[in-house]
Amino acid sequence: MKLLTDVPQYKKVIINHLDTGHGTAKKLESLGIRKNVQLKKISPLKSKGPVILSFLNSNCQIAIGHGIAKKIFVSEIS
Amino acid sequence: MNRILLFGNPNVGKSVIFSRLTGIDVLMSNYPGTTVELKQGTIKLKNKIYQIIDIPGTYSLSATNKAEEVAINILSSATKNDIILVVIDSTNLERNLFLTLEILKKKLPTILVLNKWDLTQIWGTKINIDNLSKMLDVVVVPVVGISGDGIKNLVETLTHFSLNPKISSVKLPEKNDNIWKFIGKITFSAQTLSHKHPSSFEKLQELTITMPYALIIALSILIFSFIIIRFLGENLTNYFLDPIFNKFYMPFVKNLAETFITNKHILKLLLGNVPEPMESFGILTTGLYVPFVIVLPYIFSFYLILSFLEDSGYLVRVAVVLDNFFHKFGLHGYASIPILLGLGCKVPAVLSTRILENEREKIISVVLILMLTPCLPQSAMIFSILSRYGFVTILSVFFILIFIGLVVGFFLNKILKGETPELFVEMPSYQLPPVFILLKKLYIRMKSFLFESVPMIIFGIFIVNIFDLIGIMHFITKILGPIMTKILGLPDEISIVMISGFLRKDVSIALLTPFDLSLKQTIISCVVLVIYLPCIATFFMLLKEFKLKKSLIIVSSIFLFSMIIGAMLNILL
Ligand SMILES: Nc1nc2c(ncn2[C@@H]2O[C@H](COP(=O)(O)OP(=O)(O)OP(=O)(O)O)[C@@H](O)[C@H]2O)c(=O)[nH]1
Ligand SMILES: [Mg+2]
Repeated sequence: MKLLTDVPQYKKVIINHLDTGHGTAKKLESLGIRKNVQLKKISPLKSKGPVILSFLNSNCQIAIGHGIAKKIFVSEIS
Repeated sequence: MNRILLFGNPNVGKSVIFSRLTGIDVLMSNYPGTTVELKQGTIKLKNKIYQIIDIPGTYSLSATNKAEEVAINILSSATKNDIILVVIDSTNLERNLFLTLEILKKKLPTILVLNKWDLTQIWGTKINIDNLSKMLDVVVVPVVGISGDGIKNLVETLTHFSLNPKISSVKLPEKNDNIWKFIGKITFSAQTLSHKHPSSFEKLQELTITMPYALIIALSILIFSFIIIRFLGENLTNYFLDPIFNKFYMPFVKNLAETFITNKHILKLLLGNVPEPMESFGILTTGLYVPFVIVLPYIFSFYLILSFLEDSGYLVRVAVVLDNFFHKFGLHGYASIPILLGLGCKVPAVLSTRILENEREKIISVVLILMLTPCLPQSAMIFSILSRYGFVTILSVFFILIFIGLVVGFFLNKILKGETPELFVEMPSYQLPPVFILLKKLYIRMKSFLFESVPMIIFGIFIVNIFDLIGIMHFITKILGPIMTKILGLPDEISIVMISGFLRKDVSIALLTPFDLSLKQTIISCVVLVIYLPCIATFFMLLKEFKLKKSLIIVSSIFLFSMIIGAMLNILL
């Protein structure tokens, strides 16, 4: 398990755990970011800006602030 | 009256469908959060008139900002006599179903509209409408909002439905985890995905959000846009509208007025006292020259470019790229959208701060909207009167403004208590802006200028004349004059310019022309006239969004601050 911000560019991940407050978690969920969802990270590893993700099961891209991305735990998948 | 409510996630095309169903023009753009207030229209279904309402998009039924609050409130007011149209982006079924299920829980007559049906082909998504309809127990209609395909079918379905409204009897899971399982089941049986992405294009898209390319691209687009806007604006004025005005229009009205009107005062009110259209201050001369010859070309060129950026999907990327930078001012990148809208007109810009989460963020962005840049009509006037001093002078006015704005934003972030919310934003894929949307938006924005702003400009010129006639001008000059001369180093007659700026900002800059100011005085007065007070239309929008007390605090602090800035410039320059 690692933080979403520590995932290299173009790696696919699955979300294990959201360490955010309840409100943020709910908002993330309504955008489709929730436990067990599979994503591909689009933004580069070193980026200090928002983390950009694309969903593996739809054509949707999402940007989330760096501060939130640091609270999302994921595992890399192949 | 019974209602039809257009509900759905942001950016799924509700406003496009609203406009197709009602023929009413509303703003539509390729970013989430275009619509922030309700828009009403009507539609006739089988002799019965329904009110149809375009609603701000929302991701869920717990509001995170004012726009979503508006949406959620109207849903709670809905009854079994209303029809809910849940609009879905067909390429994004899974996420859209989350809100759909929340709405179905309300047990109201609901129809599911699968918009952007054209994209399912391109993205290789196959949706089985029958399965979807069966599993949710609702009527499902695929449409293509931008081309109008399927709209006729939607109207027929609505007509039929209005006679036999149906409430879905689907059994929805109570627990949250099970909701996603249920959604998974639906997508499994109703949707097949085959990925066939055009990959080189995708790489190009990614460059627009990857540093440092993103910054280079953003700067190039900014400069390029600026050049086009100025080129179009200036040339339309100089080679087309100004000649028409001076060669044909002026001699014509002059003859007409002088033939029919003998009263000296009225003649002066209409034609002004000198022949130059910018300096005469007649209602039929300056009153029309400012809006039609100088400002209108810029309105046209600016909104042409802005619509292009909005609809291509680039504006959202700007917000993402600027996120880091905006954190320095206590904002997240999405605040760049209201601020960019403020380059055009502050009124819709202030309204669109509804997409921001908290009060602190709204206040900071409103201050930036009001201080960072002039509105477009005012910019056009500044270009026009400063052009004789050269381009560098024009740039320096804008540079001073942006610098002051950023410093203020920086300090507000330090002073105001609270946290900076984090960015969450869906990034719609790039698209070629649909021509019909581009044209419609240009039309909406030009119309709003012609019908809302032009009368105010003429009224502003009228008031200045009346003040002059009854001697109030003298009175105002006497009271405010010393402030002008002592603090700002400007002639005391400029007081009247200050008063008029509250009516219309472009008029106030036009009023500077007859004064024969020095370069330094021109710069100071332009800077002060941009920030000192919002125009009256903006002031009312502030009142609407922030209530009286907060609005007054914001406006009076900015006013005091602008005087300090003016005084400092007077000393420094
Ligand atoms: N390809 C395609 N694009 C569409 C279709 N309908 C709408 N769009 C695009 O979707 C974008 C959003 O449209 P809007 O009508 O502004 O969306 P909205 O749901 O009102 O969005 P908010 O007001 O932000 O909630 C626009 O850029 C349209 O060009 C469609 O049928 N096909
Ligand atoms: Mg809309």
